Amino acid sequence: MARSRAVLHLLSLTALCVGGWSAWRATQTNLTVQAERVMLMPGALPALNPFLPVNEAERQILDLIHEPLIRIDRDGKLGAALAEGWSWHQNLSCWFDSAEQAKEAAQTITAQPLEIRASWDLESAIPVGNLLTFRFTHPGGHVADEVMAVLAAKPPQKLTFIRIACTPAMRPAIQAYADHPEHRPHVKRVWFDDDGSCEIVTSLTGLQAQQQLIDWILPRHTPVPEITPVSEVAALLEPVLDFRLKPGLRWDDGSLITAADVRATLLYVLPRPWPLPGRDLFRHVQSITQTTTGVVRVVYRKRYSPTLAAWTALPILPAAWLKRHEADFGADFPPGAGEWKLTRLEPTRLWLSQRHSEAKQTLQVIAATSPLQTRVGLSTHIIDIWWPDREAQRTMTSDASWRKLPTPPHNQLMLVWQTESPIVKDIEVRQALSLALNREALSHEMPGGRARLHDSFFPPGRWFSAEPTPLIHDPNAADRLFAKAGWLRDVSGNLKKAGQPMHLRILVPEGNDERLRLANALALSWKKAGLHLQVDAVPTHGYRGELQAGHFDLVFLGSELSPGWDVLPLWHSSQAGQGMNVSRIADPQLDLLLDALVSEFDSSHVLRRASAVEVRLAELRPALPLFTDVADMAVQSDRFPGLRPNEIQRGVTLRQLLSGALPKVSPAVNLQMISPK
Amino acid sequence: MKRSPFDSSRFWAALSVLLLGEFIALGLLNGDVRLWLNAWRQVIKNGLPGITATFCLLVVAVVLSRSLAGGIWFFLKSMGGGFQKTGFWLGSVLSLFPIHTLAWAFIGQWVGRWGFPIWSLMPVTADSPSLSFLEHLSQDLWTWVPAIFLLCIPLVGQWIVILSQSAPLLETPKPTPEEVEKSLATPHLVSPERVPGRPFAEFMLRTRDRIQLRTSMRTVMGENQSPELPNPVWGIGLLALIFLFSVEDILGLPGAMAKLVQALRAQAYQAVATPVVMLSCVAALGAFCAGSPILKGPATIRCALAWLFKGAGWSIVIASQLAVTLGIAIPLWPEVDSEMVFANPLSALWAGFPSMLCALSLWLLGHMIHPSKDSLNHA
Repeated sequence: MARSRAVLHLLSLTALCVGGWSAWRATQTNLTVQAERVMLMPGALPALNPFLPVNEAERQILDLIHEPLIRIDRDGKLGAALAEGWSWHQNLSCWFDSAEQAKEAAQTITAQPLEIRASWDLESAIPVGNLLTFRFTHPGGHVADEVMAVLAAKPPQKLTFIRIACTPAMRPAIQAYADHPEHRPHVKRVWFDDDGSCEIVTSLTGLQAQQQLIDWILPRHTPVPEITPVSEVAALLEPVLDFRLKPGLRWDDGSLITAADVRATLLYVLPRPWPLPGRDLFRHVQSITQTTTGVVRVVYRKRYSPTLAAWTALPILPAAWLKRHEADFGADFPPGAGEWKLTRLEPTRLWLSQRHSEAKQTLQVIAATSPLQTRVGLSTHIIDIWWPDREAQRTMTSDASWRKLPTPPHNQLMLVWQTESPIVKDIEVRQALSLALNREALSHEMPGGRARLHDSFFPPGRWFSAEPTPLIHDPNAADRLFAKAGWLRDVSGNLKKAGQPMHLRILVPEGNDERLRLANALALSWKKAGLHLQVDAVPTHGYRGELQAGHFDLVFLGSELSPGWDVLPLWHSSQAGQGMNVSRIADPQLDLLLDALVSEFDSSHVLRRASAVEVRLAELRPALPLFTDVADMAVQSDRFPGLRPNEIQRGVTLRQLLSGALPKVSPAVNLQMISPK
Repeated sequence: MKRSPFDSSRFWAALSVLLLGEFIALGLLNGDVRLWLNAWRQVIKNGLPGITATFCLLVVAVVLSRSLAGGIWFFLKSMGGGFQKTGFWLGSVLSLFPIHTLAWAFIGQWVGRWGFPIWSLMPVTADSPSLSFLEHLSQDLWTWVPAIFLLCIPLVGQWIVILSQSAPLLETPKPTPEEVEKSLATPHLVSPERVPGRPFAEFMLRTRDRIQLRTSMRTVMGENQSPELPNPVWGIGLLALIFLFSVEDILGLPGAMAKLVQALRAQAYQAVATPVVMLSCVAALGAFCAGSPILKGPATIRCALAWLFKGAGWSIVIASQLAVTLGIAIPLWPEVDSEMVFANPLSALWAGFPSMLCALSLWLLGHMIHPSKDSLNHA
């Protein structure tokens, strides 16, 4: 009996000791690894499709793995990525009746006095067969006219632009026409747009080309689409963008990164409905080739300088991999050329490690954790980076060890006025309505209850973005402006002009609850100012038509922030009606400024041009910029000591965070005072 | 009477439990035998670690809690009757305290306040090759130790209640040798000399010649008898299994009970069949180890009424635990969630008090109506 009791007590004592020891060991365990950062993903493990990030966290991971040709650096300027440098040129291509004529024309040009050639910035004149290509160091339209004037004695062939309003189904037939040996000599260029319509540049006359095309298409496709000769030119003026790739850049399989990868990536992405920022800008690309010196040469069919910035948003993938995964993209993670690479993958975790750094940092990404696991991870400080939602941010505020960092915005929202509408066509009314709106209060109605106030018509944080004076909510100033415009309050506080109340109509797409909530909040806000806002939900299929027809007074316009300074489609008078200019603003001065902006190929002058556009837009007020989106990541302050306050204002990317993550270890200096002997 | 360790009754008990589980699983699958076989295939393929985990937790918790309760009871006994009474009441409170609130409070304090890890809950674990043997061992232990210790809290309480009920609170004075001798000289009813049916007077006359009991019997009768418990392991084991329902889920352990909770929470009732099969295996193993249960119905109406109240008390504890674990909100019942316990670990403990007090009051009512003198089987 006594022995069994002793055994019993010994057993419990041993169990207590063992349990206590394991608990003590748990308290002593160092959970953090110096060279490893742990990031908690919201939701499941990402698919890592570089063109279709599901959330901001995935976008930031993709930014680590993949590399575009150029990227926006910390200061918001264009910086090196795969390409260490870039330069604009211009090609002038003209076709002669014979190779001899082309050579003669080349000699004529090169025989011009040096001063004239220098004023043209002429780099070379190279005849290839009957084609003569002039290369200029700077893009510029006037140079082409001067060169053609010199060649007036023996002019090149006239080129005709033919536009075919065909469908995508007809593309193979048109392509076959261009590739046919009979047509190849006179078909100089073929361009297809996303909607399937096609433009052909031919040396035939308009009528000849039209007839030939009808004869070609009729047996293959009926009805024959509309074929219209558009214009006639003597030469093709094509801007050329050269990217100098960093030497020795290779994919993981050891193959060099070349123009073929750039071309394959673009060809792969454009036909797919992925939300590629600056997608429209890539439509101007004519060809992508590689020179013998390894330069990636992009030839555009139109002079449009914002196309440069579009390359910041296109991660380059290996052509060989894309070819292999033509059908099953997404089944496997595509390899990237970024600073980080995927090294290990588990069902709920993945590891990235730095490619070239000596520090060999790793980033462990964990996903699909339960709320409890997340809470445990945060409490034990095993997680360095996470993406708190609205609720979690509230609980996070009590823990001082976490620092919330906003990431750069990607979308913007503005309130566009229909400038031909009877009431809001008055600029003072638009200004008064803007002043009467409390944007801060309205921002709480945005998804997630948060948004960043934005006052510019350009993306924030870029070198070309001027900082306009923020619009302050001022109901008194709004009242004064309303009165100035003839809108006075009656006894019940409603604004009236000539006995008519102020009644405005806003359109929202049907089924878009977020926009509806925002519109209702707007209506409520303006009700205090004395006007009635009618919120109309329009079926999605007819929404665009309603906007283009101008059947509204105001509308919310949300869009992806353009990677560059491409605001022309929104405000140019040529885009009103059928284009994107739904405000129907038509101002000649603004048009000139916008044309000048998109023709500016010198990046250092873009700020001046963009500022001029910004000032003019602020005067005209075709829209009221409201918000940009905001996604916050939370980081452990002590694990990322190198953060600067201004980065928090601008937004921080994961890439920036990790590149300065490790504190610089200074060598220990042991100075000894040497006393004089 | 000593029970043989491998008597056939334990086989039958285990088999009955297993069959009961299988019938439940079959019922969940609408009687589809193919699906039931498939569930078994899944259990054989993937379920063995879960069964092992739950069974080991069950056995270790029951054995350790018995050991700890024995130690505590020994200490209390040595301190005197007052301490024994205190032990009884404390044991009752502990055994009726909802274990999920204890688990949450522990997590809130250990992880939320102190920032120490519980390895089964960590979203990130260190790579095994980079760990030393001791680190590996301590991590493995600390995965299971919190669950065992948490289970031990109410089980120790229950063991103490059982021990206190089965032992007299006041020691009866030991008889002197003369009294024992005198007692032995008295004719005894269990004497083999007694012939059933014979007149008692004749028998009494015959035994005047001091017909002695056999020596072995005399020894048994003369010893200070320890009270025989009608197999309390059954009751304690059942209780531990119910408690594991919450503990495995809250602590994220890969046991059969956690799988059952997950399947129930997902409301995939056909998927519940597999964990039910796993659970029946655990229960059958447990029944085999614990032996056959001793079932004894209530002798009187008072006893039945006491059973009813005590049963109601236990039902409150168990129902609140199951409801919270499955995420079912009970009106007027404080809810427990991770955010709450991380903000204030004590709030989880407070949340457990209402159900404990309700259960305790009902249990006490039953105890007052008919104070039981034996094990949990009667409680």
